[in-house]
Amino acid sequence: MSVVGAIATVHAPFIAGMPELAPEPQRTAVNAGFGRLRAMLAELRPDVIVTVSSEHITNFLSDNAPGFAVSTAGENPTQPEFGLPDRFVPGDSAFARGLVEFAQEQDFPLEGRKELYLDHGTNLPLSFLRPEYDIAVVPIIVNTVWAPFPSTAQAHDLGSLLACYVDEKWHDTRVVLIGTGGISHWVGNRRHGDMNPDFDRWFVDLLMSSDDEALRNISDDDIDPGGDGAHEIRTWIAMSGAARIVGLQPEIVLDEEFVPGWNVGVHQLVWMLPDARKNHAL
Amino acid sequence: MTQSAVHQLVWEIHRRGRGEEYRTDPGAYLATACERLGVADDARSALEQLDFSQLIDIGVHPMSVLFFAHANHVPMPQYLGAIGADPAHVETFRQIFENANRSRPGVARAPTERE
Repeated sequence: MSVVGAIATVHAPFIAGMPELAPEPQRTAVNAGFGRLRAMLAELRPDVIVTVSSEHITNFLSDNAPGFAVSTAGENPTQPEFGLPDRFVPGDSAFARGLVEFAQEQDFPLEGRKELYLDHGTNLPLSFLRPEYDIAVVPIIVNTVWAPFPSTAQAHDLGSLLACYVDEKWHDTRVVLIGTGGISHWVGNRRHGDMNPDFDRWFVDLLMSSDDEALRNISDDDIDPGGDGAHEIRTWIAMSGAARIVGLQPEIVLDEEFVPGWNVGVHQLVWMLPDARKNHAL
Repeated sequence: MTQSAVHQLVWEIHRRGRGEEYRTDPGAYLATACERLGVADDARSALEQLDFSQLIDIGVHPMSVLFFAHANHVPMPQYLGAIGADPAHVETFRQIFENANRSRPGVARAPTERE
């Protein structure tokens, strides 16, 4: 079956850390969105989940920041933050080590790490989508902090690489990909907490049109109007790259343009096979 | 002194803050760490004075500086004010956190699996 589905969602820490800040209707809508994703993930029955999240100065220092890194650990610790579960998350060393080797064979710059700390970027979606933490998670981190960043074409290639790797080496394994990152947002600077709904709309529309050439050609200058945090869209672009290989089709699960209090737009997408989509009323 | 030395120091402090190992006497810790990492006097001074604006000006990533502020228990509005954010924006965050704190008085962190 190989890659049986892909999910993309924001991972704004206030969703877990300060849920009470959001108005009740939107908080309910976001919880419902995560609930639909949780149900979909359960129905897809993955043997392995591969997460693609962004760096938050949790794992990479400025003097050693690869474009992409995957943990080959048998388990990875979470970062205790924002009230999220503080635990070790099971990994899959054989899958991850094989992925590093496959990437090298394909001349793709994916670094293997003995361990990665899973901060809110990975742990917030996991806590909502699989709170049992009983499925192996292979975490990948994309450098979106220390310039120069990997290009959007490389991010798209990461998704293609994942799909090809699973198809070639783990064909009997059911794999779901989860890309997590904010769309427009500013972090740590003078515009901290700001967002740009027009940018969000533009990007979600590009994903929904499956315009992979346009996604691959998004430049840093194109992203800058969405803020420094918007560089995390590379994690979503990776999902589109995988979907293109497997033939998964995108669908919007949640499209909350602006949630006051959390100061974010909360968007969620899934990519599924056409037959699987018929069975879901998203 | 390199930019990465300051980054590494800020990161270490941030990680200690998250791990709740970093509590008192930052000056004593900073003195040895700055010496070990070769942090220049101006950067060390900015660190000791929690001068976030200067740290950003000398090239430390704003997100790293934000974490550093959190590790030193600096409220978000105070941090935003120190780096020159728009006063209206600072006020928005002040209200956000004031409301959040009001609705969650005395919430204690639950024991974790590690504990």
